[in-house]
Amino acid sequence: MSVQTKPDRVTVRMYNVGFGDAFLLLFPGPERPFRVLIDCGTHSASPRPRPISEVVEQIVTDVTDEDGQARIDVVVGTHRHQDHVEGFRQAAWGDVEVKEVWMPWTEDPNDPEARMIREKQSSSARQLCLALERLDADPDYLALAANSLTNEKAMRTLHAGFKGSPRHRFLPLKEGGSAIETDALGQVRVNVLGPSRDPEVIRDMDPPAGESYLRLLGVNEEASSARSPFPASWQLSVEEVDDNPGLKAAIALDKRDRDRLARQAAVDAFALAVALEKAVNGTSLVLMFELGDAHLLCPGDAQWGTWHHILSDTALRALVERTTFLKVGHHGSHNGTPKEFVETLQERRKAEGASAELWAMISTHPIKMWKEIPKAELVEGLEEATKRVARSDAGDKSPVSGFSHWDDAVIEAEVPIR
Amino acid sequence: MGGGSRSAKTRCGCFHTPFASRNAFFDPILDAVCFGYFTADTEKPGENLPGQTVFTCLSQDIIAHEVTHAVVHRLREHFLDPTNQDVLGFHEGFSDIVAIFQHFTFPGVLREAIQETQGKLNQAGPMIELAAQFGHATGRGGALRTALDDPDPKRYQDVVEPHARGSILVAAVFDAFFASYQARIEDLLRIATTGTGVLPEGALHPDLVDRLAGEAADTAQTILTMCIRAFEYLPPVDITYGDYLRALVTADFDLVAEDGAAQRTAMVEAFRRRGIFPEGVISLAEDSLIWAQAVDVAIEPMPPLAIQLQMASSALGFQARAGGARASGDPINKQAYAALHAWAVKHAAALDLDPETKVEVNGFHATYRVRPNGELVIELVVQFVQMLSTLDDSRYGGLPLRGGSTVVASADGDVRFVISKPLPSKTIREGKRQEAESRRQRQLAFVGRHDAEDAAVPWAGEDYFKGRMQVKDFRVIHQGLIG
Repeated sequence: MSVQTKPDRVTVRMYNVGFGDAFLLLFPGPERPFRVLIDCGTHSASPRPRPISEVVEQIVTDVTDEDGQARIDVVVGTHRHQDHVEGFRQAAWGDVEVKEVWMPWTEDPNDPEARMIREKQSSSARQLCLALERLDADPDYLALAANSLTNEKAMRTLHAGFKGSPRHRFLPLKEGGSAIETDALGQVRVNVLGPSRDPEVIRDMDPPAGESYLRLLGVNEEASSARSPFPASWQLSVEEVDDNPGLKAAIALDKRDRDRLARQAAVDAFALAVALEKAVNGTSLVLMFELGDAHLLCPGDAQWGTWHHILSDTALRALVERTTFLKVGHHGSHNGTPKEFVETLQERRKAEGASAELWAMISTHPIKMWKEIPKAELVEGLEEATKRVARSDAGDKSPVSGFSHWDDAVIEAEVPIR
Repeated sequence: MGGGSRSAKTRCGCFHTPFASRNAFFDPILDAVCFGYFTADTEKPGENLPGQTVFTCLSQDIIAHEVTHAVVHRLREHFLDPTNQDVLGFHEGFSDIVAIFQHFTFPGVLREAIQETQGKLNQAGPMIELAAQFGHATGRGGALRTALDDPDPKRYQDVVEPHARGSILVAAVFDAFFASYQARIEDLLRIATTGTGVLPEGALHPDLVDRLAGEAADTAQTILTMCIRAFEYLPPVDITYGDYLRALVTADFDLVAEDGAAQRTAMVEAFRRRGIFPEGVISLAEDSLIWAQAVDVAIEPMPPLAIQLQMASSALGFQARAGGARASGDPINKQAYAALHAWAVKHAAALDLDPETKVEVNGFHATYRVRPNGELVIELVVQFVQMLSTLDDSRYGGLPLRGGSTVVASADGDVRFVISKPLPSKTIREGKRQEAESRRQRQLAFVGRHDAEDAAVPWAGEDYFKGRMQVKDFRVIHQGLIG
């Protein structure tokens, strides 16, 4: 039934959800392992190796004790992207007993600043998706934007849906250091490395203003021509200009110029979708779990701003440099893991040789329209730092030593504690 | 509304273009400045009517800023190629500098500001804020930008976004302005306070306000002129703030050797406080900062034909720029450029140019300046640019490796300064070869930094990736900040 773990190992199970994340961490405990579930979701544009309901079933089975009750000590929702939370829609979660739920501080219902960011991101996502649909825009852009739509059901599960009245923590806290005080995980030490409350990092959470979407939609078009600041008598149509040689010479704009002007005035749908994606990724919770020699870094989808903050802080940097297990950020994209960090890991391997143990897991699936995820150079860079790099989409056809493969459903790593 | 000035034609056109957007920008391809209009934020409109129509073309600051972009682009077309962290910041910062110093040309506003701040112009207020109406109307709760900052070298290390980086340059120049202004009004304040240095509470005497305003306006004009003159002493590509500081000091020293108002010292100090140091100088003393004079270089004067043609054409009035692939049909200019090109190739080594790469003459003009003693100084400035293609190397993101030299000569053609950014080449002299290689490394490192921060890279197609460092227009730069 439930998955056990060896007394001197931390077990990490990566569930194959396609392009998405679902990780279960198991730390040795007195009667049963301490269990941490980090995210459960798949991108709407992702191929599904198996339906998410099956994945959830598998997870629940893995955490069900002998008495038939499913228990998870900590559920973490790193950020509210679909590919990280969509799986929490499943009804099965209602029967799972959870002690604590951890989310980024931007999810705190009682924090006014958090509420502002949340609402801005939610409404931006809604408006952008609406605009892109109405315009029949490139489906790639819509897929990109749809990931940021708030999944009400999933968020409700995280906030109020588990059994056992879990304690909710919105991290990091305003005051205090990076360490979390909790007795839910026994001797395991946890540090929160992001998202910072630094104004620079918060700025990254700001999606583009709503006005852009409305213009994209052309919603304001009729309204604006009705109350155009220019009286009709001053407005000229293109034909009127073309028919009047004097006027045409005076204005001196040929068709190519006019086309360029029109393009300049148009809104860049791609840029908006990217900015929105970046804004939500900016809220990613970055956690470091430590037990003995096992140092597990789970950065969600944190991008440049958060990483920069971590690597510029001496204490936080020292912390991440001890990583023995890395959940590779943002499905292996170029900016989910800074080059600087990979180089540090490579140097560690050179200095310490085989004793520098490192496991890396990438939960990802190639999607045709997005050729740069996962980034080949990043995977190669990680492979230089360690032989133990596993991808969820590799299946058991090319097993990587150091991991256990269970069909193509789960890949398991065992990270030494001593 | 939009305004356009065409390089091929000699007149400027203004025309209406409906452009409903919270943006204004210079488009280098259309060679036009485009001004958008929009409705003010309904919830936080500041001093505007909620939902009021705001025209960016009516903002003094926005006009000055955008037109300056156009002028800079005209003078240095390669300053839109982000080959290092400072390039785009320079474009933005310089445009802000011109816009802010324009404020000092309005005597009424200046006098009012002096009265309100009791002469302390380095306080928040309309004199040192940019685009206040725009800022309020877009719900920012304040002006778009300001000339004040808390000098912090760390910011210069970290900040990359062009407007924010530009603000560092603006703050440095304004710092120097304020220091100069304070030095100038010292005696006035001594008189006004009979030595105590403490001004009385309440309104200042109108005579004092007039005198202070006069000094402020003069100082602003002096500093702005210094900033503009420095242009002649800038390399044609790959500008850094350090280069600009050297150009500022060189230009001012060249014209006004005696450091009367200590403005050069103030400028150097202001840059130093923000961690801006030129490369390859041994100290911050004036002698070290001034571009090396070309006295030792064995190089014959510029071709007399070119000089004569330039003088003749200057006398006839402003002509379009011509040269290299964009030579205009004008036969006079073509001759001058041919002569200069031959001269550059002949003296490639002395001019830090690579003889094995094509040399493009990117601009040639005369400058006319008046010394404080009334003496007219005429000088000649020519820019040579070279390029190494990087089309098959995606590490450069679509920007070629460019090098070149700005050559400043006296009116009789004697070369006085060679301000160079060398290309990596075997024939260039040793010292410059290292500089060329580190320039190349810096350009690559900047692309790496851009990639690390650019959220679009994972999602974008190959086209975007190949040309990701090319700045197509300013609209894109502004989009990060506006709308």
